[in-house]
Amino acid sequence: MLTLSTPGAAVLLTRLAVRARTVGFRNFCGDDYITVLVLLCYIGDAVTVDRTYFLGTNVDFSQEQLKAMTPKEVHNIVIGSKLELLAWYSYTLLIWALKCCMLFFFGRLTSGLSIQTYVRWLTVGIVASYIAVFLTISCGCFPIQKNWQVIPDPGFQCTVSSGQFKSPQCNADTDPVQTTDFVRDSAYQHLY
Amino acid sequence: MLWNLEVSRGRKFSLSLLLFPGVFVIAAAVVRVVMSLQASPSAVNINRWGVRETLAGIIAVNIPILRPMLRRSFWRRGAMTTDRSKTPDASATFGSRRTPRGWTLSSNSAHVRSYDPERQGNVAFRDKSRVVIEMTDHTSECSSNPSQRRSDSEEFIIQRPQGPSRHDPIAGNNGVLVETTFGNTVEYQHEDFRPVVPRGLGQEDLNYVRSVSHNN
Repeated sequence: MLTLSTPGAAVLLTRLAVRARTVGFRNFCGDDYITVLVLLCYIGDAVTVDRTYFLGTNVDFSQEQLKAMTPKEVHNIVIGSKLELLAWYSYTLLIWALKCCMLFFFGRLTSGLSIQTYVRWLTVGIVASYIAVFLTISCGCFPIQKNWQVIPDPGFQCTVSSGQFKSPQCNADTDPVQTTDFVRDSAYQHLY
Repeated sequence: MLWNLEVSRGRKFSLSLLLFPGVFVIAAAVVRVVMSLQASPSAVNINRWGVRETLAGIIAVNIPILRPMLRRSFWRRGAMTTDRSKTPDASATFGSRRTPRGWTLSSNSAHVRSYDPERQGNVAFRDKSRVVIEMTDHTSECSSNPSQRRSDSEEFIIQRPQGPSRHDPIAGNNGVLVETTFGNTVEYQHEDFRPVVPRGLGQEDLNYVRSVSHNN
């Protein structure tokens, strides 16, 4: 998984370098600062995902398997589950930060055009969807300690992945909008 | 939508290539949902698709920003300039300088004002009138602070071709000079490019300005 992470970090760093070269640090826009946030989230995501791979989570095992485990192994799974929850937060923050980057970029492309109002509405939608996603992760399983409960089985809502299936769904909802916006934007022609 | 863009076929192809990671992100998200809902979900598989998704997302978002790397001046020392070697020769028609590629003489958001060399900033049109058009690199400059852009602007002066003029509100004028600056007083509307016409500036001048900006 770390091999997958390296090219992503490379792309982000290259982007920052390119922006520093073309506009200079002093003229950095919102999306450049958010890129730093993206990078942090990306590193956080890589680390947590990598750890959960070795520790295991409460998603992966049946109760029979768990009962056969030593307390040490169960403890590892508890830590793994906590990290998995953390990974959910960093993952969603990362995706939505990327959307934000895109919004800044669109905003720049459409500055002065009437489509810019479209970008503003998109901003509202994306902020709203992030709040929704954040609440889904936070409140999907209550109380929150159950997220890393291993024995007894915390239930479907709390085995970390299942409770939050709505977040990628929200994500899939807003992404096509952004992608089509990308094409629709006639200003894009000036780029290429 | 992509096929309706008025660009060459090669460009359409590369555009769709650029947009592909975006599609992949959506697909990965859907796969992730399905994985999460399966009878025996595995955190490893879910995370695996998540990481793929984020990677594709990062690439999709950042690729347009990396575009200047393809310009020669990016790798040269000194201040970065736009590569002018590829621009169509506009100087023959439009006077002293060319429009650099990647910059738009913003036909869509052009801010035009009359400019009096004698009395700077005077809006009234005099004998030696100029049309001042904002030229913005929309791809790299922040849009939030127009005053900040001023320092980064490139001056860009175009002379109106000599010749008899059908409708010349500025009689005896040598020609309209178009230059970039980021100060502006009159705003153009996007849809029909019909601005609040400054006094002394006729429709013909606007048409001319429009043709200039569309030729880029």
